[in-house]
Amino acid sequence: MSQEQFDDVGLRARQPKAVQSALAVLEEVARCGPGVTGMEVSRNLGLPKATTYRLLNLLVEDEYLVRMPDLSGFALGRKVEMLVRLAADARPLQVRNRPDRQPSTRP
Amino acid sequence: MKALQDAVARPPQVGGFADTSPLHGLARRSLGPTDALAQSVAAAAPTAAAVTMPMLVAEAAGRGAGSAIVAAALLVLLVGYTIGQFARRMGAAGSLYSYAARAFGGSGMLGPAAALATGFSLLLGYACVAMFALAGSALYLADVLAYFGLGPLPGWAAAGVVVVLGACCLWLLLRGIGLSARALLLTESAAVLVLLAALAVVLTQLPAADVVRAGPDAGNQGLGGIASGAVLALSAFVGFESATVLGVETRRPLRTIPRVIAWSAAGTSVLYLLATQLQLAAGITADTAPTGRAWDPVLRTAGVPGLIPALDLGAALSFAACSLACMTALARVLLTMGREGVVPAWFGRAHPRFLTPFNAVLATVPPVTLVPAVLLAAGTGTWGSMNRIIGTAATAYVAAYLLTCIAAPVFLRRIGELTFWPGAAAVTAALALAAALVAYRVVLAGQGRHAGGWIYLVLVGGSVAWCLWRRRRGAAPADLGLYDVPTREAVLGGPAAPGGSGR
Repeated sequence: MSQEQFDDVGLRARQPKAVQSALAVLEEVARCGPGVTGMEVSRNLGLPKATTYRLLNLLVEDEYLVRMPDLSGFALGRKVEMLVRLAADARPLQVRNRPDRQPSTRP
Repeated sequence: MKALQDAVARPPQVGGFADTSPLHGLARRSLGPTDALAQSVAAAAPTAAAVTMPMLVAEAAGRGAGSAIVAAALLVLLVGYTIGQFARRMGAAGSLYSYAARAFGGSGMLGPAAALATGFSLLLGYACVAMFALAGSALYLADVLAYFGLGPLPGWAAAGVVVVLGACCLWLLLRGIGLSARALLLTESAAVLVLLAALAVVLTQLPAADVVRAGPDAGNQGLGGIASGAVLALSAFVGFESATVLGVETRRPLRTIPRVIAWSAAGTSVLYLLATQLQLAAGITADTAPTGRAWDPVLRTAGVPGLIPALDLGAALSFAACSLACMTALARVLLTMGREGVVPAWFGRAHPRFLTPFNAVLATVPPVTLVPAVLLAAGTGTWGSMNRIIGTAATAYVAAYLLTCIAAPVFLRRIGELTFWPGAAAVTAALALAAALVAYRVVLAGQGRHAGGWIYLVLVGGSVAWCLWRRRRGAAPADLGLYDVPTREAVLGGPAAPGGSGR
């Protein structure tokens, strides 16, 4: 991944755990569907409310999530396409570097 | 990340989003954090305030002037934190009005009344400060000229300066936010640099221990004095919230604007505290310095009399930038109200090419320029009128902050995100602001200066009542609280990208 793509990802967390939690929040919003509220996400993940709201706000700031027009629910932002694409692009690299596998064509 | 991958592969249907934002037509996502910071700092006018305010606070609070400013700064930080609760969730062009409207809602009578009171308070506050700042700029320019022996400026000439300044602001505001933001940044940076230079020079000339221990000889004025001083100091901070009107035009507003507000509050606090302590350390009291010229003896004591016209120029620039910033804010709040139907829709139109709130600017800048021009040309009673204007402005601002702090927990509860600290901060700030507002009006009334309060009540109360009456008998009431709703394009599951799938 180029430096530009790294910078674009944007998740500026100070601890690795926060990044993990942010991704868990994203995954939960994806699972629950558009319109899920902060309280539901916090309950489902078992995270404290204040932490969940902070993560949700961070994700909205960086446009991975958008707020519903009435501001009380969340939906996935278009930018998660990029995140998923970056993760997908990373996988073939791991496969090629394993010594016991033949270099294969990209899936 | 299975659910996420599935969602990307088969995007869910998401309703409720439109192709354009309700605040389309403005220069969306075109400004950076520096421009937003310039807006907030300019509206607060730190150089102008640092030149005029410390002596007033010292007069009221005596030895406790520093404490008064710290108290005001803490309150301002609390208010900023509360405003941030809105700013990190919604980008808007109507500043505190949009926030209050989102919280209180548009149905019934009480909700809209509170929202409209916030909006009209803001309009009044921004307009009054813009008027005051235009006059202030002209007067400090006159002082610069007077220092170089170019005689006292006649009233009509000062009025002319105001008209020229107003015309420049008008042109900048019509032509584009990028242009006016750049002008604002340059002017305000120059003003702040001048202030920093003056403070730095004076700091090096005075013993550090004196600065820390400083207090005037008039003795302790007690807690009441500190409270009055704090209220006076509070009025120096107002405007720090105005970056919130750039919620549509700033990039990443939900991240940038809360930070800008916090930085403006913190930065101006430090400047004011330093300015006040330096004045007190130099042994200046209200008796030794004529009003508005408190820095002359300080700079002379520090051995740099040449900085006197420089500081005056800095104050003039600061006032000019302040008026531009307030006009920027005023037009955008009015535009929002126009789009909601609170005021005629004509005010809500943006210029198709310049992407500015064209009509709102045309409607507000000329009157805001003419009032101080006429007052200065008339000559007599200028300072009396200016005091009334600034008194009205302070009342209006504090009222708007108070309503916003009440709105915050209501808003958070409404969207299901109320937690302890934001709620506690909002309630504390609201109580402190209410006390400050009452104390301010009581103290002024005691001095026979109630005009500002009455002007505020009549103008804002009248406007709110009129709007409510119109809504009752008029067409279907529009939803208040217009903000920059994300477009369909920003949502996963919006319109398909031109390249199709299979990247």
